[in-house]
Amino acid sequence: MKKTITDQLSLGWFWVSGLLILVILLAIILYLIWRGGPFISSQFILDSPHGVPLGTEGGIFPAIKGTLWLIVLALVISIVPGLLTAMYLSEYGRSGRLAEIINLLVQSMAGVPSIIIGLFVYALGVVTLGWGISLLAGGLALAIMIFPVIVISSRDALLAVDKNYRLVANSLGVSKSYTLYRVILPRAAAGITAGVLLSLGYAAGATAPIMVTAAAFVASSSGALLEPVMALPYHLYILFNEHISLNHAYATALVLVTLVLFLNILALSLSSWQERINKQ
Amino acid sequence: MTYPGTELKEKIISSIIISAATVSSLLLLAMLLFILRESWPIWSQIGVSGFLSGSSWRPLNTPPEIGILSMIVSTVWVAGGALLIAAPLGFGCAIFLAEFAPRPLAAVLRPVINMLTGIPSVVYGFLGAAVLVKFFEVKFDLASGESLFAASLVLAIMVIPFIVANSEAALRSVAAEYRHAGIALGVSRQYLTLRILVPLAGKGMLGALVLAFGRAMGETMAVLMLAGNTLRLPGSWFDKGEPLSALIALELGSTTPGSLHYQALFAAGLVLVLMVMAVNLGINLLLNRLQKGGTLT
Amino acid sequence: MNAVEFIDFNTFYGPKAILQNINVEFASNSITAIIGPSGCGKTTLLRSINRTAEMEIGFKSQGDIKVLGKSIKEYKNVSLLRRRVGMVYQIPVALPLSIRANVLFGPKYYGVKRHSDLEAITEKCLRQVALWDEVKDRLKRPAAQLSGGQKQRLAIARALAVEPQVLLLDEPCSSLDPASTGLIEELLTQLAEGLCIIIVTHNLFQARRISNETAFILDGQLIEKAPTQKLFESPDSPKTRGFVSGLFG
Ligand SMILES: Nc1ncnc2c1ncn2[C@@H]1O[C@H](COP(=O)(O)OP(=O)(O)OP(=O)(O)O)[C@@H](O)[C@H]1O
Ligand SMILES: [Mg+2]
Repeated sequence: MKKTITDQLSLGWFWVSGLLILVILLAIILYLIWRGGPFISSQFILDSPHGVPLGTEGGIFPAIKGTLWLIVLALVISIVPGLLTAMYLSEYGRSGRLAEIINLLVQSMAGVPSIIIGLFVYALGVVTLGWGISLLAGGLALAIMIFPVIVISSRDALLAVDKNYRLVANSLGVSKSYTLYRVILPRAAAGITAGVLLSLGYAAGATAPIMVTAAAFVASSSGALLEPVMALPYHLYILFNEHISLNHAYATALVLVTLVLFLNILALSLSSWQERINKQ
Repeated sequence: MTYPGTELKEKIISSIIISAATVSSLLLLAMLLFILRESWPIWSQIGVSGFLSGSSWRPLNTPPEIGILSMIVSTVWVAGGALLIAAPLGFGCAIFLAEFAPRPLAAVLRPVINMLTGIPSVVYGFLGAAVLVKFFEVKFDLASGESLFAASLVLAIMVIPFIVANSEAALRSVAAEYRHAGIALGVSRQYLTLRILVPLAGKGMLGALVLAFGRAMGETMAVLMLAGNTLRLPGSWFDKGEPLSALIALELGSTTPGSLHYQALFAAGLVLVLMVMAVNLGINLLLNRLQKGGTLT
Repeated sequence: MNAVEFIDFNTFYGPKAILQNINVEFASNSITAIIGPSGCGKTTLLRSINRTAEMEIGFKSQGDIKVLGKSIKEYKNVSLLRRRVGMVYQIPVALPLSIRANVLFGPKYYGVKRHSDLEAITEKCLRQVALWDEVKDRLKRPAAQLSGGQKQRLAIARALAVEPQVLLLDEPCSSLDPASTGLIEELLTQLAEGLCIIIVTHNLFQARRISNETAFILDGQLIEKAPTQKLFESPDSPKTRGFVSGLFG
């Protein structure tokens, strides 16, 4: 078989695009480590921001705490409705009209830009309900943002469970909820957890929705629901945008990326574990 | 022989599940309606066409000038530009992964692409502004290197993973038989891929591109930090601009609730979300239509 | 009394008619084999009885089936019907639970709580399917570790654990080796006392070996149902003769 010029060129194109993406990720991570690494110390992790202007010295502890508060709150708000909706779609609705509509709505919700969710929660929580810029408003915004992610990933994890289990259980006359509880949910647990972790990583890095609902540059992040919190992504944005400290910005970015990638890698390994379970 | 309780219990559980699913998915409609309500005065006073086609944004002037044409143009320009850069790379990488990558390399590349999706947009924005923009400023001797182009470039990196994942799935779903048939004809693997597999997977790949477009239009932090944030109508890719998402993020905190400015931001939000949803739904309908009319099932 | 009775029964998948005008009775305390070419509607017939066919998209039915004298539509909940009508499928399915939990999956749902009762059910059902001696030391181990033949016997034990009066088996031996097949045939013959067993099989020898009666279905129609020996040796219908003649070369 002789190779034509087009063959050679297209092969080059495929390889270059594949490798370029690898290089980009490596470059991003190595550059962050190179620029931010030297400024990471136990003091940076465990201290509050100090110095004039504030943030040039000290650390980012309240921002880490605030981000954790925000994602935990988002999880608490969204997990139950998310799982119930997924169970409806996979077990109860199946191919019905209502399930079709709910699927479409959830799919569309997943596409809604996060700033729009921020806008909605700003009007509803911050202004109308009088919460002000607060942890509660931010948690709600992030919860709405990750709800469709949780639904879609859990639904798919449930649907991936062997259909024969449902058939066998059904023919014994037991109820759907019993089958779900005894067989389907335990069987899909790893996949569902993976989806949830992924959504938490997504929430931890989200900036736009908390920028308008929850974040402050200085706050104690005590966990009080009606007070503003600091958050890693917002802190990074301000450190850079207000020209406070480029070094601390790099270090904050590194901490944030580490946190998010840690959640992602955990999710990734859980979901490949789930795939092995499903193949058994 | 009856089993007291089990039937009732199941009824209760299933109604809880059905209502939870219904209520939480209606949240989307609630969100849209709420934003519509908050922005209502804009639509009734300024009107749809006035708001969309007005190219000056001075909501605090008396009388206020409220038009978002330049932001809409920026949004579309930034997102379209991002696709222009991302499409060749994303498709190339998808084809590479589906057909040409040696197994071990593919095993590394897939999780890497997954991780790229995980990196928060503010980090992309920050790196873009701190590295890329600086580079432009030095290299081309500019006062400030921010531009729609810079935003597009960084957005491209952000949407490539979506394009790759979705197009690879489309390529893989093309039946293996076609592959065997092609190989039997004795054509090169590249020829087979470009002339047979890609056209067959075309719909799916187009879908991947359009979904990425929707995503890029809604992206906030990266464009906020890179597009330059000027409220003028951009004349070229290398001008500055302020996409809708950036406008909302920057100005929302400083408005007085109930003011025309506040309402105008909600109207801008409604326009943005409807644009994104129209793109997403549009591609769904289009793909379904193609699927029904097309030769492939 | 007839355990299962089809009355002018028809089924459809979408516009396509599958079973047509079925009128047939299945007696208690006996094994009836159902034979017929692939796609003729045997599985559909079985799954109509316990109403699992309804789970398929586009399924519709006309006419009636009576189980233990009562129309399947009149059962207040399908749960009660399905408890009376056990079913075993072609592929051996072990629920992803322990061996013991597989057997007790139904009884626990139906409210058996006492430990001693649960133990008794486990042992009794596993003995009925001749599995007890093989697994009594590893009841808590995952059922997935069993062999195909063991899994199929476990599936039968699981169905028996809720004390059905009708047992439906859809080609239960088609994925098993001859030894396991022999075991299952033997235990079915023993179980036939007190049960109405309906078994779909592609193995005409098997039908001859174990069934009291045999029904032949062709293109959704019941051609003939007769005592097994008669059906194989002197069938009324030439179509039946054509089908079973394969057996005698
Ligand atoms: N879920 C379904 N949707 C549509 N048609 C179906 C469905 N299940 C079965 N059919 C059709 O109904 C007819 C009867 O199917 P059934 O499974 O009852 O056949 P069978 O006699 O059990 O065949 P086999 O011996 O191969 O198991 C077949 O033509 C089949 O294509
Ligand atoms: Mg069958």
